[in-house]
Parts: sequence; C-alpha cells; structure tokens
Amino acid sequence: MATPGSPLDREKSKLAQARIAVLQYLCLGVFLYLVSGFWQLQVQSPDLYMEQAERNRVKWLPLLAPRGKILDRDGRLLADNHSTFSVILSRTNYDPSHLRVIADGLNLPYEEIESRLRRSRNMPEYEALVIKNGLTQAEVAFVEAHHSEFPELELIRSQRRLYPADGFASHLIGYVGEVSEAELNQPEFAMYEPGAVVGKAGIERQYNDILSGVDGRRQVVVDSRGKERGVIGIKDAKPGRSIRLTIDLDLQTAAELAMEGKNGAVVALDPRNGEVLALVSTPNYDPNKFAGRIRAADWKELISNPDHPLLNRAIQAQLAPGSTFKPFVALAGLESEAIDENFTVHCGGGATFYGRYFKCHVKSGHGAVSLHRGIAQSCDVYFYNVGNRTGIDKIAEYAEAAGLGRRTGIDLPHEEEGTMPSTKWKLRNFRQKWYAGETISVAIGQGAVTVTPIQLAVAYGGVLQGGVWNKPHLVPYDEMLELRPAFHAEAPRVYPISLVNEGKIASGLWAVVNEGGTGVRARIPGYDVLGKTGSAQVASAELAKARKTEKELKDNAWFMGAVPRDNPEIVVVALFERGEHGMLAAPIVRDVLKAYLDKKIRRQWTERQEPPAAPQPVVVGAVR
Amino acid sequence: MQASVKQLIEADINRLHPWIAVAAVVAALLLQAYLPLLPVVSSYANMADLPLLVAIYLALLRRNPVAGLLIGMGIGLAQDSLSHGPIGLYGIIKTLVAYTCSSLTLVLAVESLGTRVILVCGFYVVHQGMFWLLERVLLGQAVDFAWQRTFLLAFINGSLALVLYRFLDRFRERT
Amino acid sequence: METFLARYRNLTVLAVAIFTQLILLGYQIRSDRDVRLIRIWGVTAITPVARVVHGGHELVAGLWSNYVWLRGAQRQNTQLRADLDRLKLENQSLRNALGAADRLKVLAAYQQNTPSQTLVASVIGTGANPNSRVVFLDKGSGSGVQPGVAVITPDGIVGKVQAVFPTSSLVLVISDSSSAVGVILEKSRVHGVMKGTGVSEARLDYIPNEEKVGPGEKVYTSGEDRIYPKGLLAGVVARAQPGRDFQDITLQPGARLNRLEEVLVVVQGVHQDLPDKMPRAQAPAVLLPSPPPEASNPLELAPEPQRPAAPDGYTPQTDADKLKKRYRELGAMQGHTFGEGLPGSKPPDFNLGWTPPAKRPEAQPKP
Repeated sequence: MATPGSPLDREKSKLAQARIAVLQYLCLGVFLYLVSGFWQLQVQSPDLYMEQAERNRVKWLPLLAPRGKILDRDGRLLADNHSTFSVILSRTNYDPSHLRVIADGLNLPYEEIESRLRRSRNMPEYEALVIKNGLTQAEVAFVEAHHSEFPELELIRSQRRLYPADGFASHLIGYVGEVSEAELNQPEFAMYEPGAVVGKAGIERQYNDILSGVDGRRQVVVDSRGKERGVIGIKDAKPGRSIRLTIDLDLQTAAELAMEGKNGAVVALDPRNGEVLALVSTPNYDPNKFAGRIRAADWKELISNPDHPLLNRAIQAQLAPGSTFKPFVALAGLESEAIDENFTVHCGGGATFYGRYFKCHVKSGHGAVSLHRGIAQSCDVYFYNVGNRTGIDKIAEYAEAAGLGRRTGIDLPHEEEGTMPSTKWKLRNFRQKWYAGETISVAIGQGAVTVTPIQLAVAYGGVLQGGVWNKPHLVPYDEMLELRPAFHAEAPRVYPISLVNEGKIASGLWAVVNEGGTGVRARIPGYDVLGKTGSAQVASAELAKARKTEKELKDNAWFMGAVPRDNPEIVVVALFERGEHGMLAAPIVRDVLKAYLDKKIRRQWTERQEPPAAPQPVVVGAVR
Repeated sequence: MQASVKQLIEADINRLHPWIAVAAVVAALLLQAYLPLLPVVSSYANMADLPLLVAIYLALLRRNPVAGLLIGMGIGLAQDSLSHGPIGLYGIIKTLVAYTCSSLTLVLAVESLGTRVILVCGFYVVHQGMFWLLERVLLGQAVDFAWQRTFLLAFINGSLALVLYRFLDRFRERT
Repeated sequence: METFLARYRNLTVLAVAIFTQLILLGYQIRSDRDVRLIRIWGVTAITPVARVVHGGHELVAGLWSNYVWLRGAQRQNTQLRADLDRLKLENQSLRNALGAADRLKVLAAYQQNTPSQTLVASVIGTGANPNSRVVFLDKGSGSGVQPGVAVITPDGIVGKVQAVFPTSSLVLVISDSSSAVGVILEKSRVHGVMKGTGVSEARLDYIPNEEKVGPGEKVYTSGEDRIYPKGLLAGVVARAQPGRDFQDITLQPGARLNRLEEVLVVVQGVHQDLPDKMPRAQAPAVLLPSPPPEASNPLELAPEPQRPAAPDGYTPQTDADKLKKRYRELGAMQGHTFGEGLPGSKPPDFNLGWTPPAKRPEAQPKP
C-alpha cells in the first residue's frame, strides 16, 4: 500500500515505537500487578486474613460487663465492684511454645490454660480468651515487661467483685468465680463462655441471671506494634442489675459481731411478711479470695477446715433443736386436747417411761410444773409427759405445719431439709414401727428430730402470728416484681391455731426471759421480749464419752427471741455450736433485737420529724 | 549477559578500586553502628545515614543500573541484619535508590560534586519516604512522617556527602 | 522471551531483586519468624571488625594520654634528674593503668558484691537502624548468654537480651518504647511499671494519684517482671504530676544509656532487698521465682499477699465494713462484748451519741 521510505513509513515506525513503549509500560503494569497480587495472596491471603494480616490491623477486645451490686434494704452496699486488670490471650497468633512460660508468669497451672484453649475451640477465632482476672501488680508487670516476647497477651480493664472484709455476710452474699466446665453444660450457664465469671454461692448464685451483665466488645485498628490507631466499632457492655435485699445491715452487723469467735448461725426475720433481716453463719470465709481465682492453698484450707467454713449453717446445719422444740410439743398437746393449761406434772429430776429412766436437766427437779413454768424453766419431765400424752403423730402434725423438717424455700441455693420423725416417716425410711419410747426423746427436741436455724425462726414466727407462716425471702417482693415481671408472691401458709393456745405459749415464752426463766440474759428493759433456750446434745452420751476433747462434749446452744409479745415484728434464732447451754446463746439474740429496737427508735424519730425534711445526722446506719 | 555486564563495568571511565569500595562500605556500616557509642558524637550519630551516602556514591560511579542495584541491595541487607527490624526493609529501599541513581547517570551528567550533593539530598528524602511507606503498607505500622526533620536531615546528609565524596574521589583511578 | 529479558535486563534484575526481598519480608511477617541466617551472617561479619575498632579506640585513647604526658615528661626531663624522671614515669604509667582500668574495676567490684552471677561484656555497636534502641554486646551464646536475661551496670539497669548470636548478642534497651520493667518506689514501696518512650526519659505507670512521689525519689526493680532481679536501681523520678487514672511520672534512667561501654549480663539472677543494689536476670525460657512479699510494715504479718492492681488505685471498702467498724466502736465505748452478757446486764445502746433529728426533749419514746 505504501512505498518504503515514504513519510507514511516513518509514521508507521513511529507508531511501532509507540506501541513498543505502550507494551513496555503494559508489561511493567502487569508485573506490578502480579507483585501486588503475590503480596495479597501470600501475605494477606484470605485464610490468613483473619489470622495474620487481621491481627496487625483489627483486634477485638472484650469489654467486660460489671456485675450488679448487692444492697441492703436501705440501699447500703454489701457487694460492690472495683476496677482491676484482666489479661487476654489472642487465639489467632499465640505460640503454643509460649504457654508454659506464660502460665508460670501468671501463676496459673499450665494444664488450665491448655484446657481452656481446648474448650474455647468453638468460639470465633478473633475473640480473645480471658485467661486471668484480677491481676496482681506483679502479674501486670510481667505482662508489660514481656510485651515483645508475648505479643499475644494483652491487658484489659475489668471489674472485680468487692465484698465486705473478714467474711462479713459471706454465706448470704456468696461469691463469684469462673464458670466451671461442669456448669457450662447446664442450661442455666449455657450462654457463658469459658473464663466468664458467674455466681457460685449465696445471692450471687441464686440471682446470677439478674446480677450478671452482658459483655460487650470493642473492635480496634492496631499497628503491628500493637498500638491502637482507631476504633471501628463498640458494642457496649450491658451492666448487670443491682439487687436490694431484705437484709438490714444494722441487724446483720450486730449479729456478725455477736457471732465473732463462735461457730453457729443467726437468722432474723420479720414473721409478718417473711423478710429475712439478718442471716449469719460462722465460721465464714473471705469471698474476696474467690473474686479473681482462689488460690489452691486457700481452697485447700477452706475445704479441709474441720469447722467447715463453707457450710451455711443458717440453712444447712441440721441439728437437734433441743428445748426450743418444746413449745411445738406444748402446742400439739393443747391443740389436740391431750393436755389443757391446768395440766401439771411433778418433776423430781427425772421419770421412767416404758422401762427407761429419762433425766431432767435439773438434777434436783423442778417440783410441781405447769405449762407456764414448764416452758419458762424448760422442764424436761413436764414435756416427757406432754409428749407421751400427745403422741408422735400429733406432735409431727403441728411441727410440720410449723414448717419443721421441710425446706422453707428461702431464695438461697442448697437449703437443707431437716427431719421431723413420725410413724409414717419411720415406716417409710426404716420399714419399722414407731416405739412409744422414742416419742419421749422427741418431746424435748432430741432423738431423730433435726431442724435448721431458718426453719426454727420461720416456725416460731408463724406460731406467734397465730398460724400464718410466710415464706422467708431475701429480696423484697416489690423489688422482685421489678426485676422479674412474671414474679408472683407466694401466699402465706395457714394452719388454724387457737389464739388462746397461742397466747398460752407466748406467755410461757415471755416468762423464759422476764420471769427468771432460762433466758433472762436476753432481757431488754422496757420491752416484752419472748424467748426460748435450747441445749441439744450433739451425739448420744456413749458416743460423746468416746470423744476426747471437752469441746466435742458440749451441747449445742440455741436461742429463739422475739419482740414484741403480741404479733412479733421480729424473730431471731441463734445457734451457738458447742455453746454448752442455750442461755449462752441468749445474749447473741439480745444484741440483734436491741439493734432492731434502737433502729426503730431512730426511724420513729425521723418519721415524726418528717415535715421539716432536713438532712438527718445519723450515727448508726441509715434510716429508712 | 555476564560478558555484557563486565563490559559495562570495564567501560567506566572513572572507577574505584574494588577493595576501596568494599572498605568504604564496611567502614560506613561500622561507623553507623559504632559512632553512637562515642562520647562526643553519640547524640548526632544517628542523624547521618552513612551507608546510604556510600551506596549513592558507588551507584553514581558505576553508571550501570544492575551493578548499582546490587550494591544498594547488599548495603541495605547488611544494615537490616544489624538492626532488630525485619530483614529486607532497608534492602528494598536501598536497591531502588541505587538503581535510580545509576540509571540517572545515563541521562544526567553527575560528575560535578554539586550535582551529586543535590542528588544526595533528594534521595535522602526519597529514602525516608519509602521507608515510611513500606513500614506503613507492608508492616502495618502507622508512623507519622516528620517532614521538617527529614528535610533538615537531608541537608545535613548532603553536607556530609560533600566531605565524604571529596575524600572518596581521591581514590578514583583514571583509566 | 530471551530477547525481552536482554532488552529489559536492568528492569528485570531490579524486579527480581525487589521481588526476592519482598518474599523475604513477607515470609518474616507471615510466619512472625526471623531470618536468623542472614542476621547471623551480618552480625558475625561485622562483629570482629567492630571489636577491632573498639580495641583501636581504647588503644588510641590510651596512646593519646600517654603522648600528652610524655611531652610534659620530656620537658621536665631537661630539668630533673633521670631517676626521679623514671620514678615519675613509673608512677604515671601506673596511674594511667589505674585510670584505664577504673571502669572495669568498679564493674568487677560490683560484680563481686552482687549475689547474681554476672558476665562482663562490652558494647560494640548499636542497631544500624536509627529507629530502634538496641545495642550489641561482644558476648554471645558461646559465653553463656541466653535470650531474655537482664543487662545491667552499677549505675542502673540497661535492658534485656533479645537475641543471641554465637559471639555477640542484641540488647533491647529500656528506653525502647516496647520495653517495660516492674519497679518499686524507694520510699512508699508502691509498685509500678517503668516503660520506655523511645527517648532518653522513661515513664512510670500505675502509681495511684494519692501516693506522694517527688523528684529525686529512687525507683528500684521489683523483680515482678521476672526479668530483672529485685533491688536494682532503675531510675530516678524527674517529674511527677497527677494524671487521669494514675500519676504522670517521668523517670531518668539510672544507667547512662547513650554512653554504654562495659555492662554486666546477668547469667543467673538473685533477688535483693531494695537498699542494696543488686543484679540478676533470666530468659523467657526460665523465669525467676516470684519475689518474696514486701515486709514494709513490721506489725503487719501478712501484708495482703494478693492485692489486685486497681486501675484507679483506690482502697475499696463496702458500707458493711464501715458500719461494722462503727458498731464495734459503739460496743467498745460501753464496754460491751457482742454476743455476751450476764443475766441482768444492761443491753448495749446502739443509739449512743445519736441525736434525734429535732430539738425535742431527750426522752425517747418507747414502743
């Protein structure tokens, strides 16, 4: 078409040169593209995107939700939170060979980290694992100082549970701990992940669903040195809800102080509505030790302690009630008309029934004993006779009506049942018939009958109300309605008791404290305090002799106190293990009653002064 | 290909004896590592990038992009191995700088000391810029680029180059 | 293809060179592993030369002082008798030797007094990368140096060994921004963490705002980081001011970090009490035991073995604790022992000292 050498030719060669240049740049472009592709593929390949590149860019940090607080009835703090550090392990870039050193540095068993990682396999990889909460200064220093060696570790802020010191109300509040493997398999804890902190005992356990919040998380951009460069998104943590209890801190404090150095329990409740005002069990434990992770040595000490500090004696100690059981026997006798108020017995220090001699606790005897004196002096011989006349099944009927030998249903985990024997009970459990002789022991609260302190408090409260037993509870019903809208308050249990008979019992109980009875130590001048002592043998006399220590031989001391005489507002039961005699448990109850009465004065003054609502200087506790 | 590379090297008019070149590189690396330990200069020692100056000098002298980039890469990798950062960072940067330098000799007259010093200033900035870029893009480290400091250091390194190149020029052999 | 390569030979070689190094970089980033081989080549190639240079520097320094002195001696020689001259010369050279060996002697004395087992090493180089705070030592795995051990001087701690080569080792200095050291304040014995900032001064973190800290207070290692033995001087407080969660405290490191010459590598560390300065160290391979608890208050037998670190540093207490204290006081005021009381004894008055809210007669209503 064109001749060589023509301008067209030159055009052509120019065009060719341009094409070559284009080709060159094209090649370069393709090459650069390939290089970038290589980089993407080899360094930031999709499967590694999460694991490697992602780790240099985006990180998920958990935001731990604080638990709800636990308050007393006046809103005073029983369990709070305070800030601490937790350490998380990134599961995308941890080096298994580091784990041993990390475990050592964080004072964790190596196997634990390992099993924790195993268990967390189902979690998305980018979610880091909290491997320890509540780090000590030393552990914080360890993590910080090894930042370059262990980039997989990271410190985050968290909330640690703060409980009162010295185990104050420890059995009531309970404690939190990391969810265990066994718990994770229960539906109740299904939504938790390993490392989560849940309630383990007491209120913390009972109302864990209310107290625990929902953790949030923060997605942040970090550079490869781990420095945060920006926040992509935040899912806020939802804090747990606080719970107000029926407990009155003033009464709880008085009871705690009164029980210092003693083993036993105190339960104070308002029989009119079942609200528990104080609940103490000693010896106690320091729940703060559980708040992070309990040290093996501390745990070992707790479970090997012969006094069983973890046992909540208020609801779990099943012991013979001793003489505190006598008023129920009297009630059964009166109600079943086996005796009347004029029934009198001569006590000469003992009596023989069914061929066996039963002693009274006063060797010289009480002389002529009526119902009133029988209760006031706690004469055993009198109640042997009442029991013998009434019979075991009538006794059991009224004792069971009062709630003895069955769970009260208090909102605490692991309540024990106690035992109220009867002919049916014996047949069912031992396939044997009841011997009338056994009734004699039961009549003074020995033998097979065992109760828990809470049962006794509820039982007395209901009797003194004329046969209305409210279920004991730790969270006020109005509070419950707010926390759980579907909640229904349980109607009180009613068993008709003649008010005349109730009055006779009450007058006996009044005499215990105010007419030189066994409970004079509980007397509070100016108030009509009701009371009843109880000294219960721990074991049969033969067994007791076999034991060596004197402490082992001592009886358990019980005391029940209530005030005022008509329609008591408060019933307090104290159990003083190995206290020797019920009269020694009386001052414990007196302190609690006095704390209640003194507070009532403060409250009345405050209410009376309500119109000029000026800030009130209050020395002890808040006034509601 | 071997032959042609050799040819090109041979064709250089002004060349440095290979031993002198090696000595210059080692000295630069050593000084860079050792100077900060000396009492008086310790605080200023980090301002200079002696290996970069030597790399540019040699690359400009070679007038051969391939030889240049190999020199740059060698010096860069040596520098990387003495630091605790990842290996290859300085290597890539110095490879590119040296390659560009020797390519420039094909289109620019770089014999005059002035030109070379200006080139050093420019390449120092480029060097720092690439370092910043690589850290950011490849290593995901978000470091800020200090413009003022970079330009000041470029000027300082240029001045240093003035002295250094004059000194090195004495060893050049005329063929 | 061949012609293409020949034609674009320069570009091809460039591409190959860059590509190779990219792979190298990519490998390191991807595997989080070091290309140790190249590093060992580089370090071993440079180390002997660095040693020579270091030796040369010492030599020159020595020669220089001798020369200056000799000139003086010669001048004196013309006026003084030969024997006096010789004595002076002897004297002077001895003194010279002493001066030269001074640093080493201090080091040796320190090394002897320290319960930890240490190794003298010379600093032979810094990282060639101006961005990192590292130094090279002339002792390596051949001399028993392990990664993770502490490096100290009599003046204060220096850093920890991060990488070990046959005849040298790399030390991450405490001023590097990725360094942290567990420390205790000399006076209050409050524990904190010292962190490098990349410049010569360091930061002290986790000291509660209510603690009194003043400039000049010394800061010792606590041993809690399990790297540095307890009781070594880490630094001195330069400035302190209240911060958001904790105090903002600036520390001046004890060791002259920009003028390091001879240092001690702690091969086997032993924790020390604070007042005595002592060295020690360990590798992440083997951690030091936890330090013994602080016996700050002699009356307090067990001073809270596990006090958790509170990010806001306050001493927590619940209302129950306060009320219990108050009730106990009330009981003590009336000589009342809680839970006890003889028949007829007066019950405690928990309203003691409590004033009714309004100006009414003191008579308290009985319910």
